[in-house]
Amino acid sequence: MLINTVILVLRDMLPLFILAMWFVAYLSPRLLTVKSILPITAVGIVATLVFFSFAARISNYFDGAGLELFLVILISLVYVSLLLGSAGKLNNLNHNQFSDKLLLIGFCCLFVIKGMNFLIYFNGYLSRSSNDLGIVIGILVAFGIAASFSILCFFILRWLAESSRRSILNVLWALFLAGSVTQTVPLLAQIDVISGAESLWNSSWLIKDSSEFGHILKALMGYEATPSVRFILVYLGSISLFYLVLFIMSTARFSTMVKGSVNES
Amino acid sequence: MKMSSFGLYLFFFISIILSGLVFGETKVFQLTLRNHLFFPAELEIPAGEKVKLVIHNQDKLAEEFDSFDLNREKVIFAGQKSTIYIGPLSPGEYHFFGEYNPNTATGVIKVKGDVDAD
Repeated sequence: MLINTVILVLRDMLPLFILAMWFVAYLSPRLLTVKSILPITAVGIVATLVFFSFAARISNYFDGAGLELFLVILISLVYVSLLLGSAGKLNNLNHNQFSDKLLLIGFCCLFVIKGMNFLIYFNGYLSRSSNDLGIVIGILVAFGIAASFSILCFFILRWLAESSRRSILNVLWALFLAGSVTQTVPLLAQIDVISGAESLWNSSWLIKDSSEFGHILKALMGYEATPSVRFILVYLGSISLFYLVLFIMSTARFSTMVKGSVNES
Repeated sequence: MKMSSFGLYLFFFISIILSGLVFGETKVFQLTLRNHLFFPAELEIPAGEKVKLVIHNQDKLAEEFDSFDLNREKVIFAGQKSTIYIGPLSPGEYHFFGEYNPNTATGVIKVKGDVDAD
């Protein structure tokens, strides 16, 4: 049970830790300070508890597809807010505070998704188990692993940022965004909104979804050993959309700069 | 004139949807979770077809139906029934388990038959 707790907590905690490292190391270093983390965590915890208390009821809506639809909406919100927020920050647009708010909305929504998953498990475990110490140790071990991995991520991202390898960082960030939004594909397939087509390939022989490396790659870039055509289309579409938004915002920034210089002269 | 052609299109549209409902009925399979065990632990479904899986959690705690092979993950709350759609699948064995009780709640879906058979 200890190992299961570690795996489940890691599954939920790792994406949050990685996103926080993206903020701190590259996108908005001053966003997550000690002062700002407390209110963000408080908002995240309250929102998670509210949605958790309604989770069973939400699940019954839309002929049993309520929870999936709810998660799809939240994941889409995470994607859109992170996409627009990051593109704004990377272009140093004037409305940087708005970009920061978008990044925080994305973070809080991801907090709710992962927090709800964790609470459902935690609630069930606490209701029946007398071995409470096991779950505490499991959570601490998972927290330690997630923290260690995040510190490693932070140094790699900082090193890339300081050595002016922005293009590599942007590719990695685009992969992270694509990985988050592709989680909607299996959710929509299992409630029959889209058809669950056959997988394009099977790379389980190389990296299994259930392996440690599979979990880490999933958190980093949404790795899937047996992706369907729709999964690949959404993945590639998401990457293209990131670069398109980045391009549009940089064009807008350029035209604003030109207008400003014309007005000054 | 425009209204009548619109009506015709609407008629065809509704007919297509209804024909899909009548002739393309999805097969339903039942799975029960009791004492953190899946019943039946082995489920046989046809190849090349989308099927509906109704999972009834009779336990007093929530469980998460999970399958890396099927790429499905669904929380089933205590005492509730949940539905997931799987397939169309190629013949083979697809393992599933209860994420909160992976040592006891395990099972396999055996997909049999010809993929092209109708």
